[in-house]
Amino acid sequence: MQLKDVHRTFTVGEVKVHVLRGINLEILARELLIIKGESGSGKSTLLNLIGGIDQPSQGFISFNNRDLTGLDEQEITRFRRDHIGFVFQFYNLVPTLTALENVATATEIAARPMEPAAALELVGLADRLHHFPSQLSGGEQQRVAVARALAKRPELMLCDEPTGALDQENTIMILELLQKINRETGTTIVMITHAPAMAQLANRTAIIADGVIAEIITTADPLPAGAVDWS
Amino acid sequence: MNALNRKLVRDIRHNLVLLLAVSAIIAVGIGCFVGMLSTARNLEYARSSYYSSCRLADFWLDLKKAPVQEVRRLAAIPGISEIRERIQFQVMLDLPGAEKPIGATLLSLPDQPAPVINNIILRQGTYFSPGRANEVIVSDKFAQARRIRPGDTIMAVLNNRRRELVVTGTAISAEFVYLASPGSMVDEPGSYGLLFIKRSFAEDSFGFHSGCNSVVGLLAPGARAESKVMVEALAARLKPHGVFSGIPRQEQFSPMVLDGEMKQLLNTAVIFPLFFLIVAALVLNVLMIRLAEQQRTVIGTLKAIGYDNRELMHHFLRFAAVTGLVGGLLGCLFGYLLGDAMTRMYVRYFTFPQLTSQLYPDLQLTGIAIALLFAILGTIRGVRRIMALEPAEAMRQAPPPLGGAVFLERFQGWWTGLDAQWQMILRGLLRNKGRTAIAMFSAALGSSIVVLAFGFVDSMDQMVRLQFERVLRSDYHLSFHDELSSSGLDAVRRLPGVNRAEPVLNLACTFRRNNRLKRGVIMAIHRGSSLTTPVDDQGRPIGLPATGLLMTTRLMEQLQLRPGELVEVVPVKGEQLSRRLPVIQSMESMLGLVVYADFHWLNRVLGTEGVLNEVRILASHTPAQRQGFMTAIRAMPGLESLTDLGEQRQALNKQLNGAMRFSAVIMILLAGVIFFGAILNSTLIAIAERQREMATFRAMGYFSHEVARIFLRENLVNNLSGTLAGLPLGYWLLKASMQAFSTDAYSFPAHLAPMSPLYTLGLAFLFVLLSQIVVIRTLGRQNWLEALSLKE
Repeated sequence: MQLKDVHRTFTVGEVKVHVLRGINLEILARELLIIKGESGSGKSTLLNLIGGIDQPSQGFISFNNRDLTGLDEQEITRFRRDHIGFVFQFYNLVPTLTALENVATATEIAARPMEPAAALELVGLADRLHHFPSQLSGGEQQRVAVARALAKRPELMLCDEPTGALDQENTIMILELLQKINRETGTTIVMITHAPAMAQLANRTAIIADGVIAEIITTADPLPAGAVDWS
Repeated sequence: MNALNRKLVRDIRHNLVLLLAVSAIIAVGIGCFVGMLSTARNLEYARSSYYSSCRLADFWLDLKKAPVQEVRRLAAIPGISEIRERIQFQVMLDLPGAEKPIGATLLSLPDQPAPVINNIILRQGTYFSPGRANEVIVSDKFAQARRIRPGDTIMAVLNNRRRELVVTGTAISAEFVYLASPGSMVDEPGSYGLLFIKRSFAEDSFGFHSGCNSVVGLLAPGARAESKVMVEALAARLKPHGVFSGIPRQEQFSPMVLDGEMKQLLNTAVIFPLFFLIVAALVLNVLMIRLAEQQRTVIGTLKAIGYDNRELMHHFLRFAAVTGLVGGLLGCLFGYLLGDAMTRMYVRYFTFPQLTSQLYPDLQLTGIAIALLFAILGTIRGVRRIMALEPAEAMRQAPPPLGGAVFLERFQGWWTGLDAQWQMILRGLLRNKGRTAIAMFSAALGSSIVVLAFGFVDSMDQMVRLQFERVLRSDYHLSFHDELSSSGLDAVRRLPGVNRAEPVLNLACTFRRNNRLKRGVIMAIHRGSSLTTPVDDQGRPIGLPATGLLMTTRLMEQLQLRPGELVEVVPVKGEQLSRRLPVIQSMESMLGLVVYADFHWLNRVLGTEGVLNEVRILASHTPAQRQGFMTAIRAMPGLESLTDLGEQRQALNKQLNGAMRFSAVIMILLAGVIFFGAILNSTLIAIAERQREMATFRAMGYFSHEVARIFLRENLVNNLSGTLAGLPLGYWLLKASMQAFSTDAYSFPAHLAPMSPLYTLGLAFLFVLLSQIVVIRTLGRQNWLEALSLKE
């Protein structure tokens, strides 16, 4: 995926807020890319643009050499359905569906999905298939969300601070899970964080400041989440 | 079942009470639609098969006397397919066990059974036998009420001679689906009957050899559209024989009453359900918008996963479809039961060989389709909001609701005097203007139905009161076949127990102005009459002019007359001289298109003096005097009918107390569904939205009932102001309904008793209190601690 000179402006009342001011970024196949930055730096806006749930005010975004910026509502939905998996900070599970059914919401519209139960087994929730979100812990809920994203077999998985609402133990569990998915399935993962230690997990870390990519750090040998010093 | 459908099922389960409330409102609307239309169809099927099996006439001509041969020649006129002549008289019966003489219409039938026009259907016994002349077939309802059986004998006064008649059978006739005695609007079985006798016996009894005084006929299919013109042409041909009236089928009393009833049913079946369906759509609209807000993140997530707008639209429309379907199905069931009950009610008033309740699958399916349509219409705004929601925006927290002062706060002195709870309630109501407006609108529609229900009863009561306390103060009316002189009046005055007797001269005539023509009666009374008082639309007495006519407004409108103008009057009896008489003033009449004139003036106009054909009597009877009075009446020559106004009033009251009050109670209960459904919906949504706010109050130390009181106050403000707004709407509906119900035969004043608006407000208050029970229970089940720690 390529982003060229991407801008995003929001209008709040009579004030125009320039959140992204010319982002240039290439996301490489099979990599685990971390986007890091301060609160309000534009990380989530950038992730939304990559995932096709928002459109840039200016610039180009292409995926497999296909320009996404000119697509209509129907086409951009098709793009998300076929290529993208989302994991949100607050899990965003449907409260009235069980874990299995939540994963099924994704598999039912995907072209070549996994079995929902298999996806939940991969995230270690084989014994929690029929539990409702309210009956699961935060970590378990996020694992259901990961399974939901993973089950579609997306090419690109976008994680918006997936551990932001979790304790350290669950944070490590989720990050190891994402690393494992990246390693074993070859799924490209883009993850937002503002925790400095996260950079050690990724192949590359893009640091965003004032709406532009300030720096890209490449890590030759990413560490497993369990080996990182989180203190 | 896919995951979205599972979500649908669980969303429905979570919102079950709300959806059932909406479904109940839909069910009432669809039930009324299906029930009333089913009843109209039941009546239509019964009517068409009855009319065709009895070969009901297309027109009626009443005349003095015409030769049969000449009448039969009318069949050769193009457009006439068949003619039947017969003999018809109003007669009095003297039945054992009956305190007073009873009136009946006597009609001739062929001596041998034949498929004649206006034939009868036998219910008991047999047709006439060849041997005996004085045989009679009695109308079935009358026979049942009077316990007359085949083989019995009855005494009748035929042409001033008491004759014994032998009953061979009982029968019904399509000509008399609804039967009321002349001058009455109520079917009083037992107090007025039909007698069918042999043509040859009628000829002998009334001196009508080769003669007739009633002509009925069928028109060729192409001429039916022109029935009025055809009747006029026939009346012109028979003019030398003294035509009293010429009436096409649509203006004949029984078909007209039945047509009117069916038209009302059809109109009500369209308008009444609309009230319920509009409220259901509006309430569903509030519910769906709330759902869109509540599920904002879920919708965003589903969009992010890759669901498109079409799939999500279908998902949420299914929510509406289920509500509509449940409402539609319940409505079909309710409609069938309502149709059945209404059809049974009509069996009491109308006489058909068979009137049964049927199930009409096409009506039921239409009902379900309408239910679905309104449910989907009610959902569209919410669904559009869901579709417009951008996934990225949906992931963000919803912006807090707009704050700021509301316009009521400009009245600082008053505003600061309110407690914090009232301030919060009023701010909330004014900030959610759309929702408040819908709650008030629902209450307004509900209250208009309650006002309409009270208004129906009040108007009918008022009509009875005006008719029997203001217009007519007499106890009995005696009508005579022929005119009497003042000595006849004196004879009546001498009857036992008669306190006062006033003469009336009824002149049957044709009113004509330009090309407009109307048949009617001029009722001439004494100017100082204390037994008959013309009234205006408010029931205030109107003085009778010394000269000229006082005419019913409806008739003046039909003839396009204004006070002071002249109308041409041609009597149907006698020499039929045309006269131009002035119309002095308009007035109102509940029964018929009455025209009043001064007794002496009309006599002068006609060139007579003191001639009368009706006497109105005020009596104070002891039982012995009443018996003496009735005995004397029986012996009175030329008596055509005796009307007992006390009995008529009683019969009217019985009908009103039965059907009308029952319908009013049903209407109020149905209005209750609107109130209850709408209140429940808005309150439960408000509770769901303001969980955290309410939890905070509880944490601060408010008791549960104190929190519930906030919602009670909100509902009282919404519903009582909505109810107040519904009062004029209800009155307007009442006026429109009364106008629609009015025909040339009856007219109903729209009247609302002073207490009725207060009762309406009281009922609205009661409905709010009843819904409060559910509110308190819901609040009691809330988990405040959880609500306090909600992330959202």
